Amino acid sequence: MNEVTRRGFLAVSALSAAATIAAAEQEPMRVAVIGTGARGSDLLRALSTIEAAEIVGICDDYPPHLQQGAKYAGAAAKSFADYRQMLEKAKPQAVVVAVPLHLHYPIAKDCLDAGCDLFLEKTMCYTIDEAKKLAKQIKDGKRIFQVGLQRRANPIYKQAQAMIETGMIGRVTAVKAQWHRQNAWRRPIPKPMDDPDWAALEKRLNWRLYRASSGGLMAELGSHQLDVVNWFLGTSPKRVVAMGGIDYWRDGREVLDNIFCVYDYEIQPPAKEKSAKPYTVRVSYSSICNNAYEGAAELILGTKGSLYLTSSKGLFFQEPAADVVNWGGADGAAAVVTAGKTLKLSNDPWAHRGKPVEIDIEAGNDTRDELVSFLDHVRRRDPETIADAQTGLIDCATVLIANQSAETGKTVEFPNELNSMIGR
Amino acid sequence: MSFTRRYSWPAMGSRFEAFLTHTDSDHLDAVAAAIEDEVHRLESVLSRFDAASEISRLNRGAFEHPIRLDQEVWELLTSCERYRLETRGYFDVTATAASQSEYKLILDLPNRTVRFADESVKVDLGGIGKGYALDRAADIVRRFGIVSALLNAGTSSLLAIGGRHDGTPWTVDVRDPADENSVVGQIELADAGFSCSAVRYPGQAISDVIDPTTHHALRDQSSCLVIASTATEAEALSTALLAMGRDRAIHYLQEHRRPSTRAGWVCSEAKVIDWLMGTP
Repeated sequence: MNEVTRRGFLAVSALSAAATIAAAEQEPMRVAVIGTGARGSDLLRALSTIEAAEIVGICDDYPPHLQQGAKYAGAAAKSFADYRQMLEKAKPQAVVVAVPLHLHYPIAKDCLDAGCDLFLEKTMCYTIDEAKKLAKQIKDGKRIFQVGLQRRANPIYKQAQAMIETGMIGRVTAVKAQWHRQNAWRRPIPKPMDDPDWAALEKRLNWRLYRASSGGLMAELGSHQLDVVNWFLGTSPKRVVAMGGIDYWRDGREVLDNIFCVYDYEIQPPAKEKSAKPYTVRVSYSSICNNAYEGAAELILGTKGSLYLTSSKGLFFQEPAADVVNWGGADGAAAVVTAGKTLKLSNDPWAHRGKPVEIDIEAGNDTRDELVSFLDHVRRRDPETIADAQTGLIDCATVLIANQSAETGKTVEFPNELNSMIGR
Repeated sequence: MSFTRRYSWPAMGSRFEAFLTHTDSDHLDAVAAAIEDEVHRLESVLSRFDAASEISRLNRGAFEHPIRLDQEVWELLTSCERYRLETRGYFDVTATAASQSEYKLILDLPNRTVRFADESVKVDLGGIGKGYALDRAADIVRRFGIVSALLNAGTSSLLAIGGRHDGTPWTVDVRDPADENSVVGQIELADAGFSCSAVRYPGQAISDVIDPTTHHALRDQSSCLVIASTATEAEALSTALLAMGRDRAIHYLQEHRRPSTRAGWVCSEAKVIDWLMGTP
């Protein structure tokens, strides 16, 4: 490997992050959005900037969110409180779904039954069984489907994947990933506590805090990051052990406010390697809600280097190598040159990391880019989206087994029947 | 019993602060988290320093081809265009462009697209962004039943919802821009936006504020403060009036009288605020 320039690792790829869609001569695609809350509004806003999409309908059964959505959807889009009515009346070609997790399956199923292509926010479904059923329905119906795992559209991550594939960090040995925040995760309620509607409204707006509607930190946050691991390691995990609790935000929530996991990934080395024995890469993942020091990142640790990745920045740290040290000297023939003082190196505890080289790519907005990619695949009728049903199903199982482990106190194996889907 | 709690977080290269009044501290915490999220969201949409923002997407591509914006960014840019026309170019989000052409932004309403007239054009919302963020944060504060609040973006932009919970207005001390230890006046704010734009901060040799009509940095150390019905308008005006200079500012204010607008000037070494329009 040539010496990597300290000024930055330039992208080799000439492909732009987002696929371009030849919209000029073609009719825009009829798209609808179900769920115009916080995430749904982000998706709706991004869609409204894509000329290849015509927003024909939006739907939310919470009137303030629907009104907010109408501002972004434009005058041509019709507003609905009932998504079935919207599918029937607005007849969209593709639907974007951003609703609470427990509603992913029933709404997605109905969209597919109506003949629509589908973009579904992560995590794919509330249970692994639902995700399996949905994946089968997508395959049988030959629908174009994408899960909202937007790092798959992020050029920093794509570059990192290429760097790993070309061997720049050597063999991946372990991964440390986390999403640590200082955040109660509570939404304010627009009615006073003594209002008779308050309790129902609170359960609705704070759906992420309750078990009947939410998969907690793993499903909301972990899904993005464990998908990166599945992507980079090229396989699903073998098993996980997880521990967590409600140790700080004791406010009536039912989901854990902190979770720590260790996953085993069994890797089959390529045939050309002398030793053909599988080896295990261990991945530690944590998510906490009362300290933001570590932030959200994945650290891919390899025998030759490390990659530190976030949505807006990628850093490559080279492992210190046992290079021949040049002590100087007139003709280089002497083994050592001395002046009588011990050579001083830095006292900095992080000095061993060296200075990182930055992945020198301009990141775009990966939410917009993932939607551009989805619409491009819809247009070309190409089912191999950047995060297809198989990817979504594997990701769903990956995060949900961690919840199962934390709940039961046992190591949980990755469901065997899914392995046959990925050729294991 | 109502009480006021203070929240603070870094954003937009500065420190935002919110004083919020309510009877329920959990509700206050949740509202504070919501407005912090909204400010971060707006920064990620509007900041020219963030490669993933809509403004960066605009700046990268709008010379090559028209860029379609979402309703929110479109409305903000059309407001900026309105302020540019009203102030005869003294408020101009394309002020950094080398081009002297009159219409640097070509706005197409039915399609919500923006195109740049030439290659040097770039949009920079630094002269309106903080005020705009405060107005959007205030929408959230009001939506959740809070009637007494003060929002602060780095001290140069403020928005008061109601007054303090004892009924008195929020008070703001104003300093001489050249002297950190001085106080030249105090302003009372209730249900109003406020902005203070200064030519230089203490110790700064050359101003980073450009006169959009001459493309030169402003010279005379002074500051302009504006009280208006929204923080967006206050900031757009204080930016424009400062660039105009005191004399042109007086003329502008007489031409564009609004009952809710007050404007003051603070010259270097001044001992008091020189009120150009409206009483303190």
